[in-house]
Amino acid sequence: MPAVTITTEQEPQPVDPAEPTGSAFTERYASPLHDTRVAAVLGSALGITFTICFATGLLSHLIQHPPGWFAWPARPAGAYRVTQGLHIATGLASIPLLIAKLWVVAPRFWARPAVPNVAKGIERLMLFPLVGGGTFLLVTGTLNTFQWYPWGFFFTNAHYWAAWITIGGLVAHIGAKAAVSWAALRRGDRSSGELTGAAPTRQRRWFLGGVAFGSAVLTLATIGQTVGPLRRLSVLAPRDPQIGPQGLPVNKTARRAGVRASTVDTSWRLRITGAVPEPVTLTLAQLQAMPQHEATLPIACVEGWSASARWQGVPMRDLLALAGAASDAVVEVGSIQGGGRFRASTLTAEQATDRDTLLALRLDGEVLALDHGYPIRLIAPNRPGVFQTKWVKELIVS
Amino acid sequence: MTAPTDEQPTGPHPSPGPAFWVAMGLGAALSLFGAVGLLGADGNGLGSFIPWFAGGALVVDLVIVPTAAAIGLLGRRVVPSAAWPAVRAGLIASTTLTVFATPLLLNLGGSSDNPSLRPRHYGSGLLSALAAVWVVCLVMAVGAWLVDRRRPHRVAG
Repeated sequence: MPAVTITTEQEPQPVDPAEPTGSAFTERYASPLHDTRVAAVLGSALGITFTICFATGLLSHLIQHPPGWFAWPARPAGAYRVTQGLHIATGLASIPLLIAKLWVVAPRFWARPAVPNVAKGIERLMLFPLVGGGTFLLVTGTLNTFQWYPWGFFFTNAHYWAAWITIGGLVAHIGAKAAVSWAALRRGDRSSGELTGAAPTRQRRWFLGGVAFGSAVLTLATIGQTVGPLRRLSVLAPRDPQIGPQGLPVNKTARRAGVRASTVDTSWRLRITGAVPEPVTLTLAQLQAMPQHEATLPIACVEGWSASARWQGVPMRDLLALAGAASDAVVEVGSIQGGGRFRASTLTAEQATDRDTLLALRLDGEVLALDHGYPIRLIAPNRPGVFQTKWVKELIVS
Repeated sequence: MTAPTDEQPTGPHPSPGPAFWVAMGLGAALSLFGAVGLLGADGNGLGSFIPWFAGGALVVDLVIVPTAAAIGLLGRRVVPSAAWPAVRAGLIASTTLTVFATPLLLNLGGSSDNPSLRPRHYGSGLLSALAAVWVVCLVMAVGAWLVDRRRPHRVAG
């Protein structure tokens, strides 16, 4: 009889959160914020930001290295600006979240035995790609926005493949923690979690609010590099959408591309070759004499800044018509610059025939600055900045 | 493996279900895909990649998190407990801003011929951001402290 009474009394009680598992030091000093419910909130937030980062990053990769099944449309004109702006903003917002999350779960890092069983061993092993990769992505991605490369690998490839390594860790971690997190978030039930803290509601909210405040402040300090109206608030943005030659930022200067004013003198010609009945050669004066079209389009950089400008120039479709190219022609736009990964870019037929796809001669009414691609540059809707080829000298039709 | 017992000495999850193993398998496959892709990639610079990858996890777990914990321990002793959460929010925000701004302040990397890259005065930018953060946080901290003083006092601890 007494035994039965004890069991029924015990049933509704959660696992004692104060059950000591650590050393005397941790028992005395450990914060109640080492709490499954706090970890679940931060973990869910990171799950969302990392998923957005992964999806937008993968999209940017597909746009720049399109496999056969993938075609990036020319419209809406600002889609890439949004997805890539989101990529950088969610990455930056994740920095305080990740540090806070790792602090909350730190007692588990020191938990002994480290490998109590096979399942736990594999679960913990998969934390390495998650934590190592997550940190790697946030650090390298941030430094790329500063154009600081204090390492010996090619950023783009390393960042891309590290993202796959990390997302594997994330999938495994979600699999291991989804049920525990759900219970903690929905019902405030910490009993299936491994952390021993149980922070009161007020303390939990203040802490999470503080972390969210850190994310919000860093976001506000940088988001103006792509959200123009906030540019004055974004005192730490690596770019200002209104600072640069002709009030527009530049990613690669003429000097770094090896293009000098003397290489684009009066001897410059635009050549349209490839699958055309007769190759066409045009002087700058001839291009200036053609009907000009104006389009307001953004330069949207992979580094997360973007800026809109008014461009005037000759529509690509007019040039292709002039050369007699087929309406479904694919066009490679080549630059004067001698080499580099972005010496040329390709327009699909849909992009090439969009009414706003221009070889621009002017920016906000002025002749293009050399750093913006004088004498002519490609400007087309919904395209990464590195594909807005500058100092154009040839169109190769195929 | 030892026979299962009613006692569960290894924690609340002695035998995870099929969803766990599916997630582990899928996750490991994705990570492996990334690792293999990296091995075959141009300019993977493995001799540099591996220390940056592993180093990130180690620096966070062994340096940043213990430092944060130590600052928290100190702060909880120095700052009145009612004011501490707002002060902590200020510390989180200002540390994030300062660490982010450090390469900008020290002018690391970049390219001197491009005036549109990092065009701002980041020193004064950081100071104004920190000032804004601390105005907000100190007002909240003092407010919380005053409210706490008016209440009938609770047992400390």
